[in-house]
Amino acid sequence: MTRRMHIIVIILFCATSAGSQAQAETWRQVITAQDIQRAGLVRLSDLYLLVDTWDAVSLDGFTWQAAPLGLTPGSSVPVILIDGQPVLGDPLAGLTLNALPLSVSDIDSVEIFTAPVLVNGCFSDAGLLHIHTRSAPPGVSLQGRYTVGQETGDPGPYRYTEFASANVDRIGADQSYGLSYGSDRFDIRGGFLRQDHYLSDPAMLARCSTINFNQNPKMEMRSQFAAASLHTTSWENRLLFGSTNFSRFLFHPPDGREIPTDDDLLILGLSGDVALTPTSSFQYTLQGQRRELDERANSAGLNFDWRQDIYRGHVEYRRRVGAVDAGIGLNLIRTETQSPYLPGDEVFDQADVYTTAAIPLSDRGNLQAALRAKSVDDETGFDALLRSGWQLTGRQRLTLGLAYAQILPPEQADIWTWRAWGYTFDGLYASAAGIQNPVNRLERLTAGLAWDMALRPDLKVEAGLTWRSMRGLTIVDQAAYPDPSLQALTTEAGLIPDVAGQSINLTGAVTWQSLPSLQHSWFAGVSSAVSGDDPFQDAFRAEPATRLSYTVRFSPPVTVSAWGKVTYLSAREWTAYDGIGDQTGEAYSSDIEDALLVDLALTNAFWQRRICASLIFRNLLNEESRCHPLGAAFDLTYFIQLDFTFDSLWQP
Amino acid sequence: MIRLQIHRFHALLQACLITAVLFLLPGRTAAQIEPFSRLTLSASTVVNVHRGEFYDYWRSGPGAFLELSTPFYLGAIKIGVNFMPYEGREDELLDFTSGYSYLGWGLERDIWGDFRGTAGLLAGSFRFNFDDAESEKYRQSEAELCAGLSAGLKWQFLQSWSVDGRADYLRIFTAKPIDLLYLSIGCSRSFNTPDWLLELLR
Repeated sequence: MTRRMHIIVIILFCATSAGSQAQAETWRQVITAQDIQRAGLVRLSDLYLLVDTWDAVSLDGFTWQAAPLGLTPGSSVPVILIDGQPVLGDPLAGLTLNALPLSVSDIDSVEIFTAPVLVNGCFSDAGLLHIHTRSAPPGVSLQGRYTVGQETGDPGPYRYTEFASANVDRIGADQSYGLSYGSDRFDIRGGFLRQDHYLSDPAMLARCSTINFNQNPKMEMRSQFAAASLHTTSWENRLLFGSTNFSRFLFHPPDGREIPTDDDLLILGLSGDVALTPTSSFQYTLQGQRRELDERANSAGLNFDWRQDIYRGHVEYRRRVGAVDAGIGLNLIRTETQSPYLPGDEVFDQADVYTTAAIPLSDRGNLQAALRAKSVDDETGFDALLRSGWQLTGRQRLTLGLAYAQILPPEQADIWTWRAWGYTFDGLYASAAGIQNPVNRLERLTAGLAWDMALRPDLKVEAGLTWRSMRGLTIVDQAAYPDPSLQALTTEAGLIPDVAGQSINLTGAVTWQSLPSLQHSWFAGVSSAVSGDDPFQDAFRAEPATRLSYTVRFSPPVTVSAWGKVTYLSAREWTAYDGIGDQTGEAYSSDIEDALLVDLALTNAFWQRRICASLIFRNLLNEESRCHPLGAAFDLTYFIQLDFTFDSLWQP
Repeated sequence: MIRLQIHRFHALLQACLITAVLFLLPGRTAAQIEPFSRLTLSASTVVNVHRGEFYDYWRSGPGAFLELSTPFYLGAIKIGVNFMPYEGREDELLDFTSGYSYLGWGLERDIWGDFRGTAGLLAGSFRFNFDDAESEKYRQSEAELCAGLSAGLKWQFLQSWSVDGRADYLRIFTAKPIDLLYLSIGCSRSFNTPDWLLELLR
């Protein structure tokens, strides 16, 4: 396949102002700890509630796949960073936010990039989340959080009547506790997190309980996190440790059902920023990550028996030359995969070199560019980003951008790719017949425009347009049939290689600060596949074409705050599951109806804000809210959450 | 079905009408006291008078509730707990005792003389403790979200004492929703919030 050079103006919202106040821009959004507290976020995946420019999908309500609008979740994987260090996904298990060894209360801020971006040597044109954890206050500090929730719809006393229904269990209790010590030169933080999630929805209960010998199938997540930093005015070094044991039900696409799995994640990383001179700096990262999928008791004796180790080294040198900020960096990544289901140990080596530049064009405009050349195993490719931002008037900005990305086959590796490469784990059904090596180089071109204007100091308007062109996509062609013996579906799967298509995404937002303590936000987004092969257009129907939302934030200068959001999602269709309704007596459906979702959070602080109590409601109107034909419907749910924060309990 | 709809609508309508009447009548909202400065402890006896479909399956006996309220930045917030026994009308229906714990918010308005009207919102957890010793332990109780409206009348016969009458319309969000209309009468006593508690609440 020939490569084409695209020299285009690109918009790149780099992480240049991570410490800025909470703001929502069309392509880059910053969510602060205050936003998180006010919205009553319970788990990390709740961050998606605050992001209108992404679509998130889940079967079980705990593990979520998400991607910016215009990219279907699951078909592309965003990059997740914790304090500059990437947490790399796994081809079998992917990466879900709730499996990170972090509590929501560990977060200081989150940057969410919808546009293509290069951050700390990590490139992504499919979204990037950069989580910045809280630094330790001076002295010894203690914090914790306890949350219990419940989904409505229990049978109550009607359980032995004609109105009987399945019992819907509680959510959690989730608990996290942390201890930290901070001083002028160093700080150290540690904590642990425990989350429980019951799979009691009728859509999942039967197939999960039968394979797990458990009438109340449950997922349990236990994690530990520790971080330390040593800093002076000219350098900072950071150590990051995270460990997660996630006893889960891992959805195995070839089977079309979940398999009980113990999913362990271990991260250890060292990173640093060093100011060499007033105009130059050096950044480095050394990181190791291990992901293991082991057996969890199940009736079929299934065990993925998979271990993947990833070692990453990254260095970047930045220098200001005149008015130009330039940088050059290097990434070296080794991925080692071991499994008895592989013919041998699989080792991939990746090296990439990149350069960045930020150039002022005038007193009103700037240009930022990045170019990355990479080699993965025996394949080579490159990515390019270009952005130009213009201050049209004192209150009006326009940014134009373009990105070109080549995602090489080892970078796309998912369960289907690994099966084609010889991973012979069949799950319940040997459904890999006919899969050759289908995964080719994926090329993605993203062009975008963003405009925003402050009509008044209290009123801001934004609009954005993104066009994406993809070719070399591999689409899973999967037909599902019910298997009553396991209350599951059996699937026949094949892969359609070299699919091409174009999508367009149009967004608009208005933010109005009507009172100092009252803010309103409106959002409208439309996404569509505008052209392309039929499999591409079919896959795109799984994303809501229209998304509308209204958010109100009330935070008076007292101890109480309130947050509310109304979201409308248009209907979606999962064409891979066409006919499933007829086959299962309407137990499942490929059509997901549109939904109007109302979320509400009320928070009050006590004891000079050392303790916060929140009452949180999700889906207040109790709409039938389902993301996936095989997944749970998320009914009206309420949470009670207690946060305590005792900063600087003791100082030397 | 029609009877159920009428009863549910009737109960909700009663609650809304009482609330609206209280706040449209000439009068004035009770002067806003400094938040958390006073505590009011109430004890009441309560009966369920809702005669919807749920009543065809279970009858209830008199119950009791305890409530603690305190002034908030606007109105007052309250926490309370309510217990009531229910008996199944047929053998296969489980008897149970309900434990309803809630958080509420409301406003007070001077009506006439020592009489005040109250109205507000309630949300909480309605627990069913089943008389079902044969089942596994985890099936012997269930909890479900419950929310509703509250309206009442208060007669302050002494500086710190009052007699309270109240109507609470509640909906329990079980798979088949349950509507209840509680009528209660009791008394309450107000006192200053202890300093240590005041520091904790602010």
